[in-house]
Amino acid sequence: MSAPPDEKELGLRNIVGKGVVPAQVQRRIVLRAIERIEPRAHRPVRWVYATVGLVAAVALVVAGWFGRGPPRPSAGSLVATTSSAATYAIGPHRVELLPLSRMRFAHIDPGAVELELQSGRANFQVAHLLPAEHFKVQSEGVLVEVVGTRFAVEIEGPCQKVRVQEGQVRVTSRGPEGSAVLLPGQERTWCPKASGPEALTAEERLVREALALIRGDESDLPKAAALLERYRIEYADGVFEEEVLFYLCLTRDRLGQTEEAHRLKELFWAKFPGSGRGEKLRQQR
Amino acid sequence: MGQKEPMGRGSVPSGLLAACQAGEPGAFEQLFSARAGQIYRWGLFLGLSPADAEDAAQEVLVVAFKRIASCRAEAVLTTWLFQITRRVVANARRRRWWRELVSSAPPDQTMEAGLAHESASDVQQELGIRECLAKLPRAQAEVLLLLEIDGFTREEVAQMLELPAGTVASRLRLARASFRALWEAEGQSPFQPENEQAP
Repeated sequence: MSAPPDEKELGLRNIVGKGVVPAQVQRRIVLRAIERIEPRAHRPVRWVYATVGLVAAVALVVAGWFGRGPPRPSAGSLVATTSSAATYAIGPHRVELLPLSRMRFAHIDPGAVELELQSGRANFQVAHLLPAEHFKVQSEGVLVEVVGTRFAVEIEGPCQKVRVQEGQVRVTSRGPEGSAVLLPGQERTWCPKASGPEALTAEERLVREALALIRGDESDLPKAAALLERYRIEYADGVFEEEVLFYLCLTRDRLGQTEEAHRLKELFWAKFPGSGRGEKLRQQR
Repeated sequence: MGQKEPMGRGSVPSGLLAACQAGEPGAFEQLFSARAGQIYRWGLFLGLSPADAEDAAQEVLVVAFKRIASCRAEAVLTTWLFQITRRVVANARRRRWWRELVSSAPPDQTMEAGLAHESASDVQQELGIRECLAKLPRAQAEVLLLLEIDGFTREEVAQMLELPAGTVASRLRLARASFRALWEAEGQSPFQPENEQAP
């Protein structure tokens, strides 16, 4: 009697088994791993680096003491906030990154600033720009070019909202909407079709929806927590397990469910011992 | 039917684990050489590109070095390495997802072969299999990889995934059905496993 179709082997091994791992790939993996685990104490440059690092750190502390003010991010740096906002100075301009937001300072020159808002919300206070200067903020779907102003960019799920308080900005969408100039008091939301639900898996959609609720109104937090719990049940060991557990800890904390938050933090530290987010959770205690 | 030697059950010389744990010179290099290819394959068939699979394999070996004291016996070395690989691969996929999310460029949909093949049709089949596995839920892809590609037994897979044998069997059934459907939806001809022709 022949077995039902799903009981029969697919025979993948007969196909894949003919392929071999290229020798140079295997060699590269081994050599690089060996290089990373070899003791480096015999390398004299380590002490040079340590000394230079120490001197640089002292110089930074001294400079920070005498020139206290908002931190000045370096070009290419990526910053993220957890439960509190942070303000950064870029020359005469100020950028306020609100809680649970992330931004990359892609390009910083005296006359050219290019930023990438990756999640959350940020407020911008831009000093007067000369004609040759520019200040641009890019998010997933829109590019905001400043003409000298105060404005805010916010990511809400797949949509991005731009609100102008002073001056004016020109916003260019990646979608078919083209560009528009916003004046003081005006706000507009762009929801690119390309990043609609069909472009996302159910797993991604669930995470995005929960994160959008977390950044929204306090009254949405119980719903966000329920979505994150649902993720943990439906996608145990899923790709976003670390993010989901992290944001669930923060959400339970914000909801005042401290015992549950503590239990989840213990779980996070046990499951992701090397994670930078673990440190952030410790700092919250 | 000929006895099949599991592709994934790479053996290491007896005493090598103890030598690594004792910090004997050259022991890790020997262990890495014995297992690098197997770990790279796991990464490749769990949805990583060849470049990411290479990085992930390197990372798995470094983690193995740091935690070698926690590996109890040579008999469970493969299980132990697979569990590290699952975590490292999940991290790599998550990083890739974030990278694609924040990048302004559309994600690169092209795939390249990760193994060396003798013919172009084998290359196509490797790409087709990886594409279908990448579309399966991770739990199903892992079961197919270990049973169908690596040739482990259900009992061994149950131990590796820390699951009851019955769960492995049901996941395997689902995984095969989903894989066949995806394979045929890709326009590939239905599977004709060579081993079915054997007596």
